[in-house]
Amino acid sequence: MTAGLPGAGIGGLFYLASSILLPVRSLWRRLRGRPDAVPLRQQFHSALIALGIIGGLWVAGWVLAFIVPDDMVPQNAFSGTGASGTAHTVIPFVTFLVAVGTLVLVLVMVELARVIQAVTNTGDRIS
Amino acid sequence: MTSTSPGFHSGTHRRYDGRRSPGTPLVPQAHRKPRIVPVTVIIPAYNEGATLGDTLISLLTQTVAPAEIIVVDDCSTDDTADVAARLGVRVLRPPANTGSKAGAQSFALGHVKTAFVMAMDADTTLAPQAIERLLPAFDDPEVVAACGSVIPRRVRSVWERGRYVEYLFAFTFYKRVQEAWGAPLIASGCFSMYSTDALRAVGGWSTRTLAEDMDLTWTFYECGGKVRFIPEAVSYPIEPPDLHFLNKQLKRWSHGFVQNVRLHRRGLLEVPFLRQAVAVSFWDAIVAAAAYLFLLPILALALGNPWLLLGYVIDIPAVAVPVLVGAAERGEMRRALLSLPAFFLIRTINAAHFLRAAWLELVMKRSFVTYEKGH
Repeated sequence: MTAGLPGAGIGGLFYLASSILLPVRSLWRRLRGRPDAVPLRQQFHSALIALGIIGGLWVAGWVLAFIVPDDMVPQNAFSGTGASGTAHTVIPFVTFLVAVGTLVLVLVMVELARVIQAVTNTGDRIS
Repeated sequence: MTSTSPGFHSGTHRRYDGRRSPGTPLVPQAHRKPRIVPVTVIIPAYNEGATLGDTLISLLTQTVAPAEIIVVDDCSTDDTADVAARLGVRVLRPPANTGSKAGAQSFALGHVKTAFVMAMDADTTLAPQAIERLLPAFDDPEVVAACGSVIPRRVRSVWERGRYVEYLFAFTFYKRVQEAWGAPLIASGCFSMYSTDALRAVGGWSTRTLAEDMDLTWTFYECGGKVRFIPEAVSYPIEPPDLHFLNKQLKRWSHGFVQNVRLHRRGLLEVPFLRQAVAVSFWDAIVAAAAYLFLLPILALALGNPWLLLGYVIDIPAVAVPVLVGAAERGEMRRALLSLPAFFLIRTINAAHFLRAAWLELVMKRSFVTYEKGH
């Protein structure tokens, strides 16, 4: 079973970030004398895939900006930004920011829920 | 769950030590006699006569031999029991149909005498070294479950092609990242191995959700056990060949996912990485699915801009890169490239199922409880 929408949504961003952070996490663990069950080679493999995805998305964005006609880019949403080239740049940038913001929000909510649960459990034990 | 369930850090489950265990060898004696390992394979089967033979042969030709293979003939009306008996494996038959895969598996658990149990579907075959590669995961006494890669055996229909891409993507990228962070999301029910003691300690496979493998995996985490993903251990299930079976399977999976999130939401909060991975998957299953199915077409219509529909395929590189890396490792580039478009079709159907399951389970409070065999 694959839960969620593989590739799309904030899940895609989450796994990109998680894989890019893997070598850093591994280095941190090694410095603290805690070896990984997964070989470093495998972790770099995942990080490289993530970099490949980012590169692929960048190319896709560039191709789209090239093939989508200027009059099909919603200029009204960016009144005052002027040239269509600006809209071409702004739309993916805003989309990316919204996705990152949503991901951060979801992760923060999860951590908040964990803290609330821990506090509640501690309170229950004391009472 | 966390406070009352037994922990697994006592190191009481026996480690695999590579020595021979007593038992009847199951593998044909034509060449070298394979080493017998302390593993009992449980195969729940209901009317699986057509596929069970291949499954058993793939088990009987492993590079290491499981001590015992048990087929649970769940009151089949076909020749399931005969196929199993002809190949010399043990056949158990419950007094009445158990009604679910988990029920059939748990029925057999009481008969297991080895340190490890392997769950396997009756329509799944294994690569010859699958068991040999999976077993060393248990060298770490904290490991209570291990799973391997899954690749569809048949890649012919558009549905099988979509699933092929989905699995290549998941097992090349997502699952390896989960493994590196120490928390594979699911030990897939079609091919996973467990410490028998740990499995018994949590009461075996539960029938309280429709995704017994996810339920079991998350229960293990909540009890402090470790789960491993070993990419080199490969299994080949038969995936739904048509839309009818695909819908049945996705209905079961989507409801099972929502049921498990509801059931384990408190326990999961204690498991690093997993809590974030599940939250993100759950968000995508609902919010991203809604945006995917409704927001994009509505926006395209409202703005009179068909180019917005490119949103359905804008993440092609995000899917294609891991899939092609996985395909290259397997020497299947052409098959992967030809199958890639089917993925986007199956993902749309997936989104509809997840959205429907969330609506019925969480809003309408209508839990789907009937276990329907999909494939």
